[in-house]
Amino acid sequence: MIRVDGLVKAYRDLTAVDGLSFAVEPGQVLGLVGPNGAGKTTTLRCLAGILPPTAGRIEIAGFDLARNPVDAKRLLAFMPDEPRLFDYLTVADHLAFAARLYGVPDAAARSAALLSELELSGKERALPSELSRGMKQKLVIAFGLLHEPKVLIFDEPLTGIDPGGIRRMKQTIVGRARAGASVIVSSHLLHLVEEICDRVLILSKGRAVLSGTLEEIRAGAGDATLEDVFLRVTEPGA
Amino acid sequence: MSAPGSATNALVFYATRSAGNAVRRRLKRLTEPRYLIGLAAGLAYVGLVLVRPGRPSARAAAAGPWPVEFLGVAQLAVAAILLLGTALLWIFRGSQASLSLSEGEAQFLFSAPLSRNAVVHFALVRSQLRVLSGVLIALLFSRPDSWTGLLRSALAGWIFFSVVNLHLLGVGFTKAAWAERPAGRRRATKVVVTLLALAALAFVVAAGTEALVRAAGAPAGRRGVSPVALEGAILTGTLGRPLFALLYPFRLLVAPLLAPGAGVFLRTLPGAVGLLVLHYVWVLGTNARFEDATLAGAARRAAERGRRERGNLPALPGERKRHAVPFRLAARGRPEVAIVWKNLAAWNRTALRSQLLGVAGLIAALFLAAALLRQPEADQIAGVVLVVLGVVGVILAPTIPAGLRNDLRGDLEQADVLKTWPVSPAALVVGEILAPLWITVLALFAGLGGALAVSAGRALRGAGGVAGPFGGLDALSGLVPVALAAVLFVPPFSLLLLLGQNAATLAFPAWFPPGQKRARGLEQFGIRLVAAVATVALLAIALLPSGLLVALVLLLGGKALGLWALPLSALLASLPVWAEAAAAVALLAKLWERFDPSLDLGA
Repeated sequence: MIRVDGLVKAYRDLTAVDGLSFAVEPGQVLGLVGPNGAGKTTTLRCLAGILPPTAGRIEIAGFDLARNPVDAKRLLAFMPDEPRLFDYLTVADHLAFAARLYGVPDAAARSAALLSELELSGKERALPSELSRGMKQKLVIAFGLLHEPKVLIFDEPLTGIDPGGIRRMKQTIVGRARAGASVIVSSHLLHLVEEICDRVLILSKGRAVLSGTLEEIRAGAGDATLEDVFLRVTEPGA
Repeated sequence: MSAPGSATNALVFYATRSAGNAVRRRLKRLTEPRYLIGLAAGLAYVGLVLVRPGRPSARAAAAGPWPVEFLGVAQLAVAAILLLGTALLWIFRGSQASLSLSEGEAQFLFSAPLSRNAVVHFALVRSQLRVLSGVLIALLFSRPDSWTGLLRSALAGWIFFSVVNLHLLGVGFTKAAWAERPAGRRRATKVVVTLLALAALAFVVAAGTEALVRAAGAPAGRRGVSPVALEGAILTGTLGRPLFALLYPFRLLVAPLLAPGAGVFLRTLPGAVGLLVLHYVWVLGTNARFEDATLAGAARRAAERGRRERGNLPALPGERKRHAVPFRLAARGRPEVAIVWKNLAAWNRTALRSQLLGVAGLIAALFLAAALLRQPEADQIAGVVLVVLGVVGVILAPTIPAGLRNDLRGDLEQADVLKTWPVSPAALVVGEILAPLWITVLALFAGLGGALAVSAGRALRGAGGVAGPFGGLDALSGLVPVALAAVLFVPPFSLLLLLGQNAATLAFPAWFPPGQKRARGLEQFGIRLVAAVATVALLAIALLPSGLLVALVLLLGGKALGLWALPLSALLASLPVWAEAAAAVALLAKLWERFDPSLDLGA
């Protein structure tokens, strides 16, 4: 599971995340939404161990990220919105590399299954420069899923993916959660959040302004859509 | 900001505002101390070392003024080379109607309500400005004799390179226009132009040969064939006058560039300017479709630039090469080995076994050659080769990996990815450093192994006992202790160097930029200069204990041990370096742990 307690990330003249606390249980998908600059990506990068928090505690699958970063990261996968790959490694090389980094026991079988699931079969020898943006995104996701992480963090996972790919990506995310993973999905696509997430956390100016299950949020707002609620809490004048 | 009133105004607005913003951005950067210090250092270097108008370079001073009697022949020779190049250009250059525009410019300008001529004008004028700035920079670094000389050379150089540039563009445009003609007409045009170009080539070769034969036949002066005699031979030959006429436009272009003084320069300038105007009109008037080629060229340039910025590493591996990997990477084992594997694959997708076999093959070939060649000249050459191999190997061993940056410095731009890996900071540092260290070891063994092989080959046939051109160092008995000393000391030294460079990038990413980006500008040059001086100073301090140990060994046992004092002192000298390297790994691990990509890289 993911447990965040009083997370703060501050820069010299800006507090990007301000005292954020939440938890994601195994099997749950949390939708992290908020306007541009709300602190979503900063939060996700702190959770992934990329940015050191200014204050607060992050627990990944029972491991304190600050005290046991290696153990925590072994159970974690972060899929950023911008696919970052190594120019000189092929698709197959990326997976072989991930297999060694995470010590995946049956790497060959898992790689083949993932490539098939993400429609990358036949591209094993391709370099990142020969892949479309959507394919690069899928490769990043394959890299992240290979070690069957217990915690999955997706930042705008559907960017650049075609309609067929979007449907399969949604199935992949929900399938991993049903298999017991704790998942966070950050997206501006509120219909996606409504479709696949069990809980929603709305951020604004680095703070949580609303959190709960979709039913709770809708009920509290008089059966409004998530979009209505989102605009109401993030742009009170709108 | 007022709205531009016409297409020309819009383009002028774009060009001037872009240039202005670029200048403003650079000036704003000077508020940061590192850029200011960098600029000061860069200016000081350029001012003191490179640019000193009024004080000719040592080479120029030694050569004296350009002899006037050479000018005629030089002008003819350059003109003939230009004619040859032009003929080959018309034969071989493809139809490339590509303007020098960036991807963004092409997207905006092609979809804007601008005439074709406006876009071409814009691209041509801007490319001429680039040529001029390039010429000016080149001239500054050539230590001009005077400021008027500098201006003369700049103007002549700009006209020369602009015409060459426009001619290249014109040929591409013209051939692209041909491609739009009916097939029969297109073929006929190509055949006629190719025949004309071939005829011009043949004529120049024939006229040149005739002149050389005639000049060689003439009574030679005290210092061989004089330039005046050669010029005379060219002009008075059967083919001389027609050649002179054929070269006329090329001589027009060259004349201001080779003008010995202001008077000749001013007299010859109008001809060259006329040629420039004609070329400009020609390119502008060529009715070729340039949009597709320009967009393709812009995309290609952008991709190349992006790749250069991400990694100045070897070219991406081709289809066949991709099957090879440095070694089989098992899924289980220490995770940092994966990082070594990745960095080795980025450097060279050849199995380590094959790399070793290649080095062994080279060593064996050198041994056989040295053992079998018995001529005294060959033996002398072998003596030189072995010393060169040894020296080059020792020099290249630390410098290649330091320059390649396929370690943490190269990976730092991917810090977001690296930070998520389940690898401890110390293991990550070790994994990042091992690939360049392997390159060090390979280069060292190739160089020293080659030197030893040549020396052993010579020793095998009895030449080793004789002192070679390097006073015995090239003999096997002399080379073995030297090589052993290098093997003992160079790897830890290279390791320390790499760790120091990586630590500098991690601690001061603003001063020592990560990745392969090579920011341009005088201030960046100055920053690199300051950084290089600081690195050398730190390295000198780090090597102080080793130096003391070497001095001690040589003092106490130098006479008794002879050359064998070298490996002993290298062994002792390597101990503090290994210790410092271990401390540097710990320091790097701490730095990596604290590294915040959002603060340190602005990512």
